[in-house]
Order: sequence, then C-alpha cells, then structure tokens
Amino acid sequence: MQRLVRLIALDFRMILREQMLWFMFWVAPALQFAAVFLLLPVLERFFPVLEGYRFLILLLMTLQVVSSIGGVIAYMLLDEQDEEALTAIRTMPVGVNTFLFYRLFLGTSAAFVFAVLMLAGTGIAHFTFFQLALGALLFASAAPLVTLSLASFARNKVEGLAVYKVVSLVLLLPAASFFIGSGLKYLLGAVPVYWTFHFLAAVAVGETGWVEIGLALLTHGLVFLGLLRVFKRRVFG
Amino acid sequence: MISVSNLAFTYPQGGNPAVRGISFDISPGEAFGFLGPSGAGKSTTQKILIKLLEGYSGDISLMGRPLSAWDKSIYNHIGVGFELPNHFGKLTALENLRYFGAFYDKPVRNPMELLAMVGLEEHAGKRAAEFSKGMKMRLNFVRALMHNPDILFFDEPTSGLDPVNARRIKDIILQLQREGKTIFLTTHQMNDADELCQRVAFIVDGEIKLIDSPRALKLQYGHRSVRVEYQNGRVEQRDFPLDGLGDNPEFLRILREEYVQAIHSREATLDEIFIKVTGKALG
Repeated sequence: MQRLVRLIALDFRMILREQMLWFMFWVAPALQFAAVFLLLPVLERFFPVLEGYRFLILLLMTLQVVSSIGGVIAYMLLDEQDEEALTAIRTMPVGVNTFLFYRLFLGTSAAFVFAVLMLAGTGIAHFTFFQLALGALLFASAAPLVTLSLASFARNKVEGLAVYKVVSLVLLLPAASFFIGSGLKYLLGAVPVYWTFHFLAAVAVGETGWVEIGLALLTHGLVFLGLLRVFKRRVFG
Repeated sequence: MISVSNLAFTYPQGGNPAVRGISFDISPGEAFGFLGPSGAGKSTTQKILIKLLEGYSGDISLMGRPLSAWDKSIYNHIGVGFELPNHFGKLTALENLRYFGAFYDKPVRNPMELLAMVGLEEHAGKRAAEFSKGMKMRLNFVRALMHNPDILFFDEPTSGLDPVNARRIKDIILQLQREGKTIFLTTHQMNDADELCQRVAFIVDGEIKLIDSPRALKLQYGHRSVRVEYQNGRVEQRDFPLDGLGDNPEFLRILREEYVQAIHSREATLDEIFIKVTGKALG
C-alpha cells in the first residue's frame, strides 16, 4: 500500500511537471465543469432551445472529461516508451503488465471521481447513489480505452494528439443515436459509450437500465481486451 | 550460476540467426566478459538471459533453475544495467530510484547512498531529462544495484563516461566482485574486460570463437620478450627474450650504461588477440 501511494504521488508529480498533462488533467475538466455548471444556464437564457439538450450536453461533457484523463495516462506511457523506461520496468519483479494495469487503474479512478463530479455536481440531472456510481463507473471505463488507443496507435505525443482527435470523435458518435429514430441507431452500439449514454438516459426517465449496463460492460470489456492485445503486440513485439 | 548450452536465436523479422549455438558457463562470483563488435550478438544474448527475448532454442539455467521456469521473481535476483539510458525524464534522479524501488518485493538500498556512489548526490534533485549522457548512464548503473542482486548484467557500463567516472564505475564493479557477485559484462571495450573480467568470450557473427582468462590469452598470444627503450642521442629500441634475460650481456649493458626510458613486456593486448582470432576489428 505504501508503495502504491509512492507511485501515485510520483505520477502526480510527473503530471504537474508537464504543462500539457497538467492542463488536460486539471484545467480542462475544470473548464468543462464550469461550462456545464455556469455557462450553460447563461446560454439557455439566450438560446432556450438548448434546454432540451441539457442532459445530452452533460453526457458529452462528462465524456470529454474522462477522455482527457485517459489521454493524460496515454501521453505518460508514450513518453515512457520514448525514454525506454518501460524496458527498464520489464526487468523489475512487478512486470510491465502490473505496471500497465496500475496506470490504467489510476486513470480509471481519476476519471471516476471527475465523472461523479460532473454528473452530480453540475446539478443538471439527479441520480440515486447507485445510479450515480454505476454511471460514473461506466463513463470512467472509457478512460482506459482512450489510453490504450493512443498508446497503441501513436508512436509519439505528436501522433498521439492526432489519434486523440480521432478517438474523441469516435466516442462522440453515439450522441447521434438520440437523433436517429430507426433501429439504425443500434449500429452505434459498437462504441461502448453508447450504452453508457443510454443507461443514464434510461435511469433519468425512471427505467432500470439493466440491459444497457450489461451491454456497456460487455462492449467495454471486449474493446478493452482487443486494445490491450494490440498495445502489447505493438509495444513489446 | 549461469549455464548456457547451444543457445540459438533468430529475430522474427530477420533472416540470419543473431546467435548460433553458443555455450558457456559462469561460476558464482565470476566476472565474465562478453566481447565483440556491434551486431555480434552480445546484446541479444544478454536480452535472452534477462528474459526480454523469447523464442530461443537451447538450454539456459540461472542459479540452478531453467530460465523458462523462472517467473518475474527472477528480477529480485538479477540487476540490469542497460546500454542506453532509460529513466522517467520528468522525475529527478532521486525520484527515479524511489519510483523503480517501489517495484521490488524486497527492501532496496538507500537511493541517496546509491547516488553518492557514482557522484550524483549533488544532482539528486535534478530531473533525469536534464542529465548528460554520462550522468544518465551512472543513474542506469546504480539502479541495477538498488536491490542488492546476486547476478549483475552490465551492457557497456562505461559508455559515454569521462575517464574519472569510468574509473569510478570500474572500481564499483571490482568491489562487487569482491563481495561475491556474479557479473556478466557485455562490452567492446577490451581494456574494461581485461581489467574487470576473470574470463572473456569473443563473439562474432553470433558464434563464440574463444573463451579464456585475459591473462592466459595475453601470454598465449604474446611474445616472450621485453622491449627496452633508451636514449642514445636518439630513442633506441631493443627486444630481448625473457628466457635467460638475467644473463643477457647486452640487456645488462643497456641497463648499466644507457639512459633507459621504458621497459615493456610484450604480451598481446586483448584487441590484438581478438583481431587475430576472429579476423575482425572491434568497433
């Protein structure tokens, strides 16, 4: 436990020491929170049409926040690939798999906290404790997917930024499902956050959302395993 | 301590084998030098021994156990000093050692003491990214020692170091030997191998051409003679056979009558032996 605390403390120092990471980890989520909590009510006064999309805006902003956290962890891994620090970790008893899971756990935990703040703190939606915890957990599960996508498909941070844009765009696609009436919207269910969105949409209208939870866990799990495989093959050969 | 029999390895993407059926044994407490030019298979062999490469053929055992039977716990027993620096650039030297130290299952040495060993104590608070290559190499080196391992693998440990720090690193390696550590040294620096290793292996094109002690090799491939340099208006050189040297009248005359500047025994250097045995120069 002491060792874990030491690793987390040093990881946070690494985040603080690079402007981009610091911005993505602290500033961007704070700005997104402020946008929903402070700016949205103001905008709604000028553009009343936005009121109808309030809940969707909350979901999209929360997704942006967790993506940002996933991006931070990915950029740290890309740096460590560059610096060959991951090779050094391969010759430590803990092994690189444990290290990778620790980092993904760190990102997911941070994303969970930020997702709770977004979903509960902005005052747009009201969930029970259980719904909030599940919703935040499902949102947080997107963070490791972002991390693994960037760390697998980018060779450095510059490429990482490009991949990040593509991944963010893909993750936003399920938002379109709220505007598609036909069954075609289910095609977007291949993107795991589709089920996160629809779980929260279901509980917001008083449904249980069990099917959505099940499918969210399944799709997140499958995509995670696929990306993990790609990451290991690309990074460790 | 380390036993390798018929080890062969070919990289998946490369056609030619990088290592071709090599065999050697390293006793506990022995410093073993693995010498060869770039691309000879030295680093590949080391990567296999430290379990960074799989897919080899042949038998390897470490500390009496087949290498394949070891899990990650092997890294509690071995320390690896890589050829190239690999640190967390955003962390300081001290933080790097603390970070890596958190990965061991056993207590690690005081990071400040380790930094002091290689003259980095004053730079403990400096970020690794701001270090020079030599400083990074020294940090690499002490990281390998932090868990007090029984076997140490060093890949070009003096690469990029100035003479003072190279001397410091070599002294630490000699001290480790005195403490009974087993050392596997990969290098193309013949002087380092000569000074630090009890035995050396010459590897070229993935094959071991020769294994012996540096002393035996130097005597075997050298001339049994001494060269005397003396000043006699101009610098003169004369070679005398070692046999009967004490009774050689000309040798004794030069010692008595001339201004002798230097006397060299003429054993071969490891560089010369390497070229003679393998037909290739190091570099």
